Amino acid sequence: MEVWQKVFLKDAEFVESTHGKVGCVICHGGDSRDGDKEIAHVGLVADPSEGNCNTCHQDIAHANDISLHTSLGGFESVLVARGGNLEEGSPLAIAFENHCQQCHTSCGQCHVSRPDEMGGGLVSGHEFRKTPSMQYNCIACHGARIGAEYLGENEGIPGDIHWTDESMTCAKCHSQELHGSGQSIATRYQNPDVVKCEDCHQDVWTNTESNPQHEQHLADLQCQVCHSVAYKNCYSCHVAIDEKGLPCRTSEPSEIDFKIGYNPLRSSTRSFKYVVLRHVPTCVDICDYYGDNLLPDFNVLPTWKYATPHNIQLKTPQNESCNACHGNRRLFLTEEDVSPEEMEANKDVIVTDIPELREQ
Amino acid sequence: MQMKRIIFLAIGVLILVSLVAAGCAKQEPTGLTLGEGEEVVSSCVTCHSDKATLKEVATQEPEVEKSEATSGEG
Repeated sequence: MEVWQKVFLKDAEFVESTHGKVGCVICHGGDSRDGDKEIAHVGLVADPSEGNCNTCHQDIAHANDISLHTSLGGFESVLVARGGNLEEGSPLAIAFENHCQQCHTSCGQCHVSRPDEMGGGLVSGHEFRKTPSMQYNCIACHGARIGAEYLGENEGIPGDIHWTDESMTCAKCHSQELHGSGQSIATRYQNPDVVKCEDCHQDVWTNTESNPQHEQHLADLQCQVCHSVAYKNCYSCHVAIDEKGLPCRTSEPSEIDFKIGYNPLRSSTRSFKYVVLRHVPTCVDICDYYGDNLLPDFNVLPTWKYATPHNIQLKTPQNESCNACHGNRRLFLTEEDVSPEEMEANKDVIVTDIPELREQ
Repeated sequence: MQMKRIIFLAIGVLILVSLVAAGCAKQEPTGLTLGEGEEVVSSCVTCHSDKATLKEVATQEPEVEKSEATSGEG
């Protein structure tokens, strides 16, 4: 995207809109009285989300301030749970600042422009889009795993049926939850507004008689265990500062795989015994560049995490028949799938009682 | 009587001319007024909705240098 395109108001009607009538300098600062670019741009704030949106959108802005999209609380909670010290100036805090901070967003970077991390630039003139662009906002950040799965970009793996058959964009399912619940949470699954399959597919729960597999498994299996297909898993990730003083990271090539394991987030609302697990890009020495043993309790959390792959299908290899899954060791996370240094961390999610073959 | 007609006609022509002149004058962007003295539409919109001007005055953004040592997927 050319520089001029990033700031081009292609639709002059914007000035007649509610946001347009507020006036440029009210939010962006600068000096609108001067036609000289340099003078007009003195004090300009390109992304004025902070401290402006909340003037009119108090409730949403307040909730959003502590949402995972803004606070990066998801990263923070994992690092702290693993014994990390994130006090200001600590080696881990410096690593966090260098490698994690870039992944947060602001009101404007979802509703007006592309995220800074993707180079920025207005999405559609200065239009305030209530629903962010799937292409330029959601997938711009969530493209490596979720976006690729949803659109069917992983070779040989079909896209999600919600996309291929229904053309549903992200916001069709993910709406208010994206602004957070107004409470500080550690993972998106703790958000009471998080999207659930049953929000749309209530009939699956109320009419199990027509489907013996549902009748048998609804309580024990997360929906994705039967209805998602192979997805991306990332292994190892090391962060450091390179010879030029720039933050860098390395990771091993990702692998497309499908693994069922024990539920690491078992609760009253997620009571399934079996769920789909994804290996996330981490390892015990991820931050060793910044100091030794910065995550002394690394094994407190698994590296194979509760996952909700976005490649849902009605029919999948594992739901073809009972024995497509029962007795099919390859589908389950076992000790053979876990590296020795991560065995302890994953001991609670490794499956030890693979369901036996059923008599047909 | 004749003189009166000429004066009225002259006044009429004058009013007509001034109205036409005002209509043809180049309009400066006056903008919408939000409150006392607050200019809403301004040179910001004038420039940012003019593709040619933007292309002309655009300066290359300082390139954010990214490490060449980074490898693998994000």
